[in-house]
Amino acid sequence: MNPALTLLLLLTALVSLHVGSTDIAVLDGLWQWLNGTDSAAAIVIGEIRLPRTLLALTVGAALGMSGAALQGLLRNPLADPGLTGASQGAALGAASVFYFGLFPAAGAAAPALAGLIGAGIAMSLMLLLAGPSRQAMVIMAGLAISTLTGSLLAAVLNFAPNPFALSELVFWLLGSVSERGLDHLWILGPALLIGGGLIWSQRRLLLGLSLGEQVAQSMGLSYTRGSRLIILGAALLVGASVAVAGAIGFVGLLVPHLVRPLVKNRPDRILIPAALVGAILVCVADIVVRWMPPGRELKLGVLTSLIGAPLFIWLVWQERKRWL
Amino acid sequence: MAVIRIEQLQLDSRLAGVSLNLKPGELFGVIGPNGSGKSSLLECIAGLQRYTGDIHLDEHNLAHMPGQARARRIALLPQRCQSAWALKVADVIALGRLPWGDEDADIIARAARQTGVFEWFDARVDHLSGGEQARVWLARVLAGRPEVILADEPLASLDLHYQQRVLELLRDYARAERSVLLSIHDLTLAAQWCDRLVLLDSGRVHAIGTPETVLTPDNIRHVYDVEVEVDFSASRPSVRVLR
Repeated sequence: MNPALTLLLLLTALVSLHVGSTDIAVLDGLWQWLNGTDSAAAIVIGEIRLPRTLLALTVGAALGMSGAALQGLLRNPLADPGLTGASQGAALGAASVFYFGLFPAAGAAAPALAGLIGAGIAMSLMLLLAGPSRQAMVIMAGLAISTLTGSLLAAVLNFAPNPFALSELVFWLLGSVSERGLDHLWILGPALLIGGGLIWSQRRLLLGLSLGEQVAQSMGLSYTRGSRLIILGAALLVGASVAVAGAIGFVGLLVPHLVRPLVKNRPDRILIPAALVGAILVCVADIVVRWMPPGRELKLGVLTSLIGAPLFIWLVWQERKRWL
Repeated sequence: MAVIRIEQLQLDSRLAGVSLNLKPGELFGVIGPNGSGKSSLLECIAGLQRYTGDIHLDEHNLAHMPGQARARRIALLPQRCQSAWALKVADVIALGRLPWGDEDADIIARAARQTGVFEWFDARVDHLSGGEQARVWLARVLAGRPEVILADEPLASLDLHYQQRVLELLRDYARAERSVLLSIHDLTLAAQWCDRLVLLDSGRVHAIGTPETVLTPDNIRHVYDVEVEVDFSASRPSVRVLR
């Protein structure tokens, strides 16, 4: 199944490279860009469409995988990557850049860098608060830290120096992969590799946890250490993607539900397909955004939320029926 | 020679100076009222609790044994089990192979046949009844082929038929090099099926030995505060509560 999903992902990426306001020969442009030729096609592909496509793919992969990992860890199909506090922390970090002008040397990547640091701090606070945690404590602590960072974010918005900074901030928070360069990939790429690697290393724990902590521990799996590695990995994935692209809602929550039937509900086998499907979905959503009639752009994060929220309501409805 | 040797096991206020030996081929019953420390004892051996005192598996100190090596030789069947995901029965049983890092199809199918769940091999575990699920959880434990099974009240919530089937399975398993430590509430079943019993009272060993020596009216009155009539003369021993 993974090869089929990979093929679908490549096709999506190819379509994404084709979509834009001007008609250009994509493969020629790509080839010219790789060769360093200074043609219009090379610039459009290399500077605009390729970064946008790659970012959509990596953000989607990061969100999909972190959602699958957290739902497996918390044994809760309604768990959202935002639960760790990482999303809000990243948003706060990035917002502080707009407000205080942190990291001027990093240029356009400054919000992303600050976002990653914000996600890291929020995660550490959450782990500190949760202690040697039971899963219920992780949810409570995540909620508490999310609320804290959310209120700080509101304060930053409240005291925005001018209307322009405020609108810039709000639009950034809505989530998008446009107007970003390949340098953002230098933040997302390693985060995807390291975070994904941490989660992948704990896939046996995720499988063992299907029958509960007791069973997992009795099978020789270290719950305390493993769960921290998974949370750290997920925070890295979510933090980096929020830091680069703002809030792209519901992808982490919904993708695992789409993938679960394909892997017979096994929480260890879901990780890679969830990353691939997440990548495909975000890229498709971004294609739809670009296909919309010209004018004020619909932000990617708004689109995923508009589609995701009804699906989420449907999921809650299904869960409710299970318990009735 | 004992498979498991426990000396002066202490777990905060739950266990106090528990010592016992589990021999190869033995079905050893752990009895006692609620809160007497039955589950805590099994959890200590399964590596879920930090205890003081010594638990030895053969000549190895369990506290210093890597988790995976322990899990290959000792498996826990917890009191309550539930799968968070709608896994296939085959995948649940395959979980028993986690400590071995393989998913040996033969061993998994054999464990399913042993417990009589092979007909639902490809069914979803959440579609089975409670009694059927209980046998799937047991099959998961059998698939790991441990030397010692720690079964924590496996009969709770099972009807009479499944109680007998589960006891037969555990009785069969406890042969040659393998043994089973079983916590159990029903004293009549304990008397009928177990080779030896330990009677726990508030975390301490009140009595240990064969069912005849442990299940005396005096011991039961002291620990459970009920009067019983015990009959070991019949072909199947029984413990009957008088008041």
